[in-house]
Amino acid sequence: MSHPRLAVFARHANGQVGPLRVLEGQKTGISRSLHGVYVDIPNDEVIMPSNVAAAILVFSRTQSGNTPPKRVIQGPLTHLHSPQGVAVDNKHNELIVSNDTRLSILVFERTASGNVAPVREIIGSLTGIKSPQGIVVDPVHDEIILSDEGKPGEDAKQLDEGVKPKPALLVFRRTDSGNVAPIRVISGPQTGMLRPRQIQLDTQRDELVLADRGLPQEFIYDTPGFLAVWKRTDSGDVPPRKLIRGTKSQLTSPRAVYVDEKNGEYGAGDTTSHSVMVFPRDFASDGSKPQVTPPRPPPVN
Amino acid sequence: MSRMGVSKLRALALAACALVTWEISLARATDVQPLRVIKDQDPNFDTLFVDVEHDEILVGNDAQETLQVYSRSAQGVVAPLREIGGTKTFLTFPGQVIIDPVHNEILNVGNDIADLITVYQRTASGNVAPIRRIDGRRPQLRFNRSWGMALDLKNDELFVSHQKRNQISVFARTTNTDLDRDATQKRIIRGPATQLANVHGIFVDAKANEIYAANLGHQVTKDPTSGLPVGETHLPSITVYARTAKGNVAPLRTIQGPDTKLDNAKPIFVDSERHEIVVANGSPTNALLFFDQKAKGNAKPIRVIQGENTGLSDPSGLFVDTVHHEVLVANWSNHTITTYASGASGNVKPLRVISPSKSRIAAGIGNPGAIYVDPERDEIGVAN
Repeated sequence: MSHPRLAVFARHANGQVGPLRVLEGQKTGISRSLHGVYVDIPNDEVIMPSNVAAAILVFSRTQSGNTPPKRVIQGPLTHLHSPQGVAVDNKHNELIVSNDTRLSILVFERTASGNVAPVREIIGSLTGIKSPQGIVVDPVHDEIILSDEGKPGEDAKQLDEGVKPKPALLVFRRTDSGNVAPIRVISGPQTGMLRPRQIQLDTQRDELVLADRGLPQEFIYDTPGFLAVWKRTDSGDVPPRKLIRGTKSQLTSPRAVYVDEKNGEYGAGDTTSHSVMVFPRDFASDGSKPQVTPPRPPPVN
Repeated sequence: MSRMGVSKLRALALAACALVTWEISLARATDVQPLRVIKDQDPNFDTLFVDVEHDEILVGNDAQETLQVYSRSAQGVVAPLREIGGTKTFLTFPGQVIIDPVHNEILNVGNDIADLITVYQRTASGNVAPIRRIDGRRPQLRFNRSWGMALDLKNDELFVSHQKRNQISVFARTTNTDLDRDATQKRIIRGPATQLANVHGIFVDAKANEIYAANLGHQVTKDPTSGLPVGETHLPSITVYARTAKGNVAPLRTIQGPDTKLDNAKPIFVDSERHEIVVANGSPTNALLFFDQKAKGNAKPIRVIQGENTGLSDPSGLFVDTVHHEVLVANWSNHTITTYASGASGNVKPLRVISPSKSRIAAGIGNPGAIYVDPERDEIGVAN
């Protein structure tokens, strides 16, 4: 059952442990289908979309309880309609939103508030946006990367025939606006993508890390999801460089992912097992964490 | 073709094969054991229903996606009498549960990604297939996030609320989309006049001939000038409709305003004995609010159960037992079912607490749609 909230746990938490703090309640404006969150460390803020109220909510990072957001972006000028993912570009002071029902990417000033128009919007048939989900911005290479679930079968016949969507990672120039084609697309059977969701950029390794929730078949995830890693510059029908999947991983339908560059870890949020798993960023082919070989002692004369 | 030509082609083919093999090997999955897992091992109760005839409580548990049955009079740390769960059951995010003692059935509506109504034999146990289903993903239905469900045995109808559609659907009780894939609603309530806004709990009082709905207040409407969608956040409300209402119909009464104390109120029930509407405010308010059944406007609750002694912890399911004069609550965040005397008020201790666990700590990870890490402060943020 949907319990909309932001729960903050200790990074080392393990097992059935309670959160350090929880942000929830009517005053927060937090609502169901919470598919995006971004911690803006330089500005000490947390940003989340409200899917069902077509709004962007900005809180202080340490805010908790039933407390209102610092800023809300909402109203007809915003073009918000089922916002999904959010990201902040601290270099250019911009807030980027994947906007599901309108099939667009919206860019606002980072401190925007109220009923304000976006400074740019990527929208139109050339964009290839069909079901926008996770989003990241790369201010170094001036790119926006969007995960897109593709468009599933619409009518009864297509649904019965199991018409499958064509999921993709779409890469746009950061300053793109209007009806523009992506500069790169990762898509196709070799990618293994099924239902891509939250995406992160590993800036140390120049890699994209994706949570793919897999395919629900009659409400049973018979094609389980996975975490997948591509080079940022990959393009076309290319397989991921790394892929975590299988019973040992406990991943069934991961929608969410983080990259912890400092501690060398990936985190995954899993829908049907209602859990958060943490994996080593480096692992051996048998799935074990690689042993670090201690340096040889200097030769004794 | 010359030998040289064949050799060149073979070399090219081998190179291509090697390239493909390399590519596929890159895609090979690695089954990595997690270093740590944040997860509830104990059940998180999100809905309940009491079978006064058989003295049983049915609860939905969304941590392990099962339905559990406890003795109504149980107290303390007890195991369930029986449990339904497993792949054959199609249980995903169990939402509102109902026991139909007349037809000896259990009904469940799957919330979140499920949008599926499943019906089982009342005494079902283990990994059992439902006896019928209503698949809300069918194109003629498109539930889009169902939350509440109510059964009207007098008129043989089933009512379901849909959060994102701001809609109430009314079905014939025995509707089955496995038998008739085109089966659809008898009527729906939907449209701007209805004031349905992120509708959650729903209750049908067949005697009063009314439908009661709890709304959190979020909705998207159309800007009258531009025609563009507009997100709106209103105060939470309780809206009341005629039982046979359909289409874009205004509520008969609306309870809304700052005096109502409504805050993240999801489950709703009508106490037919005391003629009261009961709702449960979710976390962090954690309160039961009681209104006169005919209340409207910015009405104050006539009674509130709230406080540390109550044991309320994100109350998500609610039932008024008029036979035993009790109010029962499913608490999502502390693994308990709590029971209060009918008419109780204030910071009261529950009459009974039922739980399969001694632990009152819950991670409470429902559907983690997005996460973040803050490595500087050693924190993980989980958005449900």
